[in-house]
Amino acid sequence: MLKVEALSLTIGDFRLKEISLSVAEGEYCVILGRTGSGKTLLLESIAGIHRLKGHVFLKGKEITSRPIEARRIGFVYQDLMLFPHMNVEQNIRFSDPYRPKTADPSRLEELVSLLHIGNLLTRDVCTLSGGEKQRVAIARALYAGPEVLLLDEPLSAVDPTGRDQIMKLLKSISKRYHIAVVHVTHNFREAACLADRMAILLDGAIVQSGETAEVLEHPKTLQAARFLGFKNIFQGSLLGMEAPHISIDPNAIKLYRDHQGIENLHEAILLEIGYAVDHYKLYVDLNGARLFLKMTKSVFDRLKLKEGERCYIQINKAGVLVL
Amino acid sequence: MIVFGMLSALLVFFLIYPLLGLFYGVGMEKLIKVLQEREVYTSIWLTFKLSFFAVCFVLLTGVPLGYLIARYEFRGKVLLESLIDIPVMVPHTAAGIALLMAFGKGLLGLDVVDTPVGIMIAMMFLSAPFLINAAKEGFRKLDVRYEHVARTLGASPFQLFFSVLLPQVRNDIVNGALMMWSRGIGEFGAVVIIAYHPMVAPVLIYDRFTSYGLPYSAPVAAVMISLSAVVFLLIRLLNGNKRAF
Repeated sequence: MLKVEALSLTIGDFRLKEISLSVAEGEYCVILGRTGSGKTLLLESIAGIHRLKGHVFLKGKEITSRPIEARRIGFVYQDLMLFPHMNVEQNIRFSDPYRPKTADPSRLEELVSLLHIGNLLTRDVCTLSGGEKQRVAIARALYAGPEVLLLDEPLSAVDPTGRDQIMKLLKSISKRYHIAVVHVTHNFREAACLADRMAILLDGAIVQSGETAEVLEHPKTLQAARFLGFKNIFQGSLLGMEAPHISIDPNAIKLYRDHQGIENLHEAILLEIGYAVDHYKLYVDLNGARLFLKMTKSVFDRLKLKEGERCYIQINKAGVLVL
Repeated sequence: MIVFGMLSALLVFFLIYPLLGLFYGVGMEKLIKVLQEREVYTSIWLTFKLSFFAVCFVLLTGVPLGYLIARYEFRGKVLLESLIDIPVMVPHTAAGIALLMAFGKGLLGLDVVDTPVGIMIAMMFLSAPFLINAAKEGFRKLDVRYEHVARTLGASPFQLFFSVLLPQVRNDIVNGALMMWSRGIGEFGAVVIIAYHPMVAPVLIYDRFTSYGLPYSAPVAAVMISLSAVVFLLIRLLNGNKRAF
């Protein structure tokens, strides 16, 4: 439904680099990236706010040079941008004079019921809570009948207790209204819960995109792995592998006090011990590399380990990811 | 806070004392009598009316200009902003001379010298910056993303200007219009050069002062101040400032 081809844009010192993206009807795509990686700029470019190089297609038709108001792309900003001089109902029905075809009372009723905002319609938007504002902003965008909905960090203004409810709601929207949703965030949990497809945007470039599980569990580049919080990233030569970089899952490393005749053990030095409620975080020196692993409290108590001691580690190859 | 209150009271006293002195010196009886003089009320009406027309013209032209300056970066923007502020800085008599030289032979077929058109031009030239700058600051405070959202909801830039922007900068524009209007009705230096007749209130006050002295000019000044204050308060009340009194 939405296809972005080689989108490039320079604003000041920042550049979006050759971004390509495709989101199908009913699909929920999350773009995950750090603050300042260009997430909002990318959404604004898709919406038509900035002039860009490249192409944007909607349902197969090129809309790159179409004005914003003619694109049928809804936008919910992080700060929501509800019009303060209008009450809730007036905000939601803002599009009535400009898109008379979508000005349907039954559509309003349906959205009001879906988003549980029936009791808010006459309220001044300045008196709403973060979660209420969020639901009103989503209702306003959906009421205008978009074919694509762009969500810019939509959960940042919502308190943690209301987040799950809104996430459930967001997840249902793309299928219910047959629209493509593009949601940008820096929050991994949010992304993992919502996304059908995911892309990682770093320094203005998409470094990886694909199915959610594939992206989260198998980063293809060093940059993506670091961003996703993968630990123990080393050059492949550390374990005698030809790959330029590998990442070792801390849970795939076992530590022994003695050699005990077990095969495939590597001698190491225990550098640091950190206590973390139900487990210990250990750092060992393996051939000059600092390796991180976790150990349950009961095992740690049994081994009676001390910093600076010699130990042996075993690495389960299933926990080694080639980058 | 007590110190702030005392300092504020000192300034307020300094601002109010001359007015109180004027009204006390004139007295209510003389004030009402002067208000019934045809020359006085026609002059005050002409002053209010022409300043209002000047405000209307700048609302139509200066508010869009304020928006353009607030929203867009373009070559010559700093120069344009400086040009807009020039009338506030120059002596008003000098502005009057400039206007006389520019429009002395007429404007679009209309006579300017000694006509209401000339008076309106002089008022507008010297007071327009108040409204333009107020509108500009109002638009500048407004997050541009309101415009982006309104456009994604189907509104064109022209439509959202009226439905989203103007309602949010209404107070700034009303205050700017009031400032412009009040500056216009008080304009003397430029008006007296371009159009001594028909006499607007400041020229009438000056004329009576130089021809007949203080006793004849003071009541006109008091009437002018009273009516201006009434208009000010009414507009502020209509604009939703419930604490005007």
